Amino acid sequence: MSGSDRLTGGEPIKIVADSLIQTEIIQQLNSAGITDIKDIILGSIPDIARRSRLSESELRRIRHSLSKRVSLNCNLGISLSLLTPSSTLQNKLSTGSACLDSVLGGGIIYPGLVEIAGESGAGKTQLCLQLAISTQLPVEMNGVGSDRSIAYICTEDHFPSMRFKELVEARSALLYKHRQVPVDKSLFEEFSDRVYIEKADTSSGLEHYLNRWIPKLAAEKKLGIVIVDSIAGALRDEFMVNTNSLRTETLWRIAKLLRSISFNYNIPVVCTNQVTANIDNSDLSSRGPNKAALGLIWSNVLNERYVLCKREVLKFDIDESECSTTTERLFSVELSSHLPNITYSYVINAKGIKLV
Amino acid sequence: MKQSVNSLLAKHSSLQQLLSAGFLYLDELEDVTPVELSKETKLSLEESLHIIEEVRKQNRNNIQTELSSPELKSTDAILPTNKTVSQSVSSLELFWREQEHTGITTGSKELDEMLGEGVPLGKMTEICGVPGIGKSQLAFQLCINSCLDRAAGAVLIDTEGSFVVQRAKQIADAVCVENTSTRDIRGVDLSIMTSQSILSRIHYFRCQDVVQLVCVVNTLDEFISEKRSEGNLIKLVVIDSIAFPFRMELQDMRVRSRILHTLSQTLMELTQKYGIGIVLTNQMTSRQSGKEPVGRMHQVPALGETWAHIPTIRLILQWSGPVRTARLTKSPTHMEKVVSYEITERGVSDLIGKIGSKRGLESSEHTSDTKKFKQNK
Repeated sequence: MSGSDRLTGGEPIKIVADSLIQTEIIQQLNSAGITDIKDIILGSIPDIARRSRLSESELRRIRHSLSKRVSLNCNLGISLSLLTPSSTLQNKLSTGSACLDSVLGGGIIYPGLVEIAGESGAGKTQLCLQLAISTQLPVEMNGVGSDRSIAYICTEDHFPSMRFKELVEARSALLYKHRQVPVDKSLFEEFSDRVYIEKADTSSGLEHYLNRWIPKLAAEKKLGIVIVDSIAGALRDEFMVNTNSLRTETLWRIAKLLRSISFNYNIPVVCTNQVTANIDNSDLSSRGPNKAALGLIWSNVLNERYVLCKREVLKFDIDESECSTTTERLFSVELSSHLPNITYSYVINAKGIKLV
Repeated sequence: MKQSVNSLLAKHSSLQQLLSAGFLYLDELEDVTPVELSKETKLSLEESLHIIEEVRKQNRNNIQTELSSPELKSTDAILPTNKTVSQSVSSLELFWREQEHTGITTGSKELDEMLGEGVPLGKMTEICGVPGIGKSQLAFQLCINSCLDRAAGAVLIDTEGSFVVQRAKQIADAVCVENTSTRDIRGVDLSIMTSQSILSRIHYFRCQDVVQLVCVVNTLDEFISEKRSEGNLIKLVVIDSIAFPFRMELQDMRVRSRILHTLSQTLMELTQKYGIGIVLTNQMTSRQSGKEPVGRMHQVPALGETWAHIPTIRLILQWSGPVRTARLTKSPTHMEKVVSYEITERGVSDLIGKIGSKRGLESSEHTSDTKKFKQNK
């Protein structure tokens, strides 16, 4: 049993089993040190029987009724036809770019852990800023809510507040229409006031913010989105120093934190990630020239991954017999359970990312 | 004696809401409709419906126990209802009938042939693969295809939160179109089958952690027999994925293996009792062959060696350049083999028009995608 103590979460038997199990039996279990439902559900029956002096058949019965109660929190085996056409399972957050939204079927899906991977300068932070703005739009506009706040954790660079101001101003027409801005405030003040920024450059720092700061923001400020820019930046020290197994443990722990934030508060959680060259083709997890950092384990915990790619294209002009380079940017969906693996080219202008 | 609302099998929070809305005893809920209850208590309609059903069940039980032995009343509420026993006996007949249909089609002919006749019933099949290779897509597809038999249904247990109902509808629509226009599977008239009727027979559970997953699996027996009594013969149970919650929560391998073992035993009992197929998806993990630092990394299915013995059939999905391939690595009846398949908007299918060079394939894929995008616009 000692091993399963490492499970987090769980609820006391007393609360879950209220009136399902006789009080005396609950007391008998509690005095044997079995207090959490996970001890009954995941423990071995003969072991619990020995410790609590209850019969195995009695314990099987208890496990069954506890299972029934817990499984009521798992959507009750609802018919899929009842979930269409307006799904109650997920919501969409607009990317702030109409053509990108139409490609994604309305925006990024949440709850879920979404990654934006790409090389430096490809536009990852740009997309994050756009998401930070649209989060504050009402739900009808594919926002999270007009009173929602943004938790923005920077791990590499400072938060680009100048660019954020530009973006807000470039979209002022739309933003004014859907948001009532008090007279004494400018649009930028209104939209940037709820963006809370912290800097974390180590994995332990990141864990600290996810463990302590996020719950506080959620309780006091109506959290609407968590953005980590970038996840690889926070884990760099971990990857330089630690051994394989420790690294894996840290990665799982952070993944679990990010995912539980998303699913518990029902908000999007977005991470940016760096890419490394896909030199050996032994890694079958990626098809492109680059692959996202942090390896297979990290890819396994994501719900969606989008890749931004920037490359110089050499052009030969016949008239002037000269070579010139232009920058081509590509957006592709790499991991998704509902979108095809598609690639589009895009440009970045004053209003943000625009597909062409 | 009046029974308290607390004795209902419902979410703790719902019970609190009932109590605070002034419903203290069960008999106060007897003549209330779900809509009224939902209005009074601000519970969701779905949850209200569930509570009303539970009240009626409980009342029936009470009448029965009062007739037999009144002192058993308190324990009766927590016993699984034995009423379905006679029904599950008669389902034995249905079990044999089902055995005539040997499997669930994957949507790809080559894949079906490699497995025999699709994913077999009465057995446990594991689908392993890297992220993005199409494990979940294949899982959705199998759920939908199992409903091609008008009386059959499926259970989908989602542990990753990756299920998107719009995607399931997209595949179901495509399956309906394909089957009405071209062929008639097993002589069943599919002309009036709609995606809505398919989706209505797929039941969805979302499990956030290992405890929830184990609890849902523990109650599947009752759930399946209940659905059978309503005329929905569940034919397939899919867990997408089995690896995720275990890898995330249980780092201790001994504990992990013990719980996985108990879980798979419960699932195996279901395959025997109802003749249903079980499909589990599994992740891949990197393993080093040889010693560091010279050892090369390669990928193996997660959850370890002990787990590898449990599923009867193991399918590994892999990229081969830009092509998706499936390799059968474990099967009691069929040889190890590799086939390629494709995933499109319409779901899983054979790779159409095999092009020798990878380049050609890549570009053709690209142009078809841009075409699709233009159509969307």
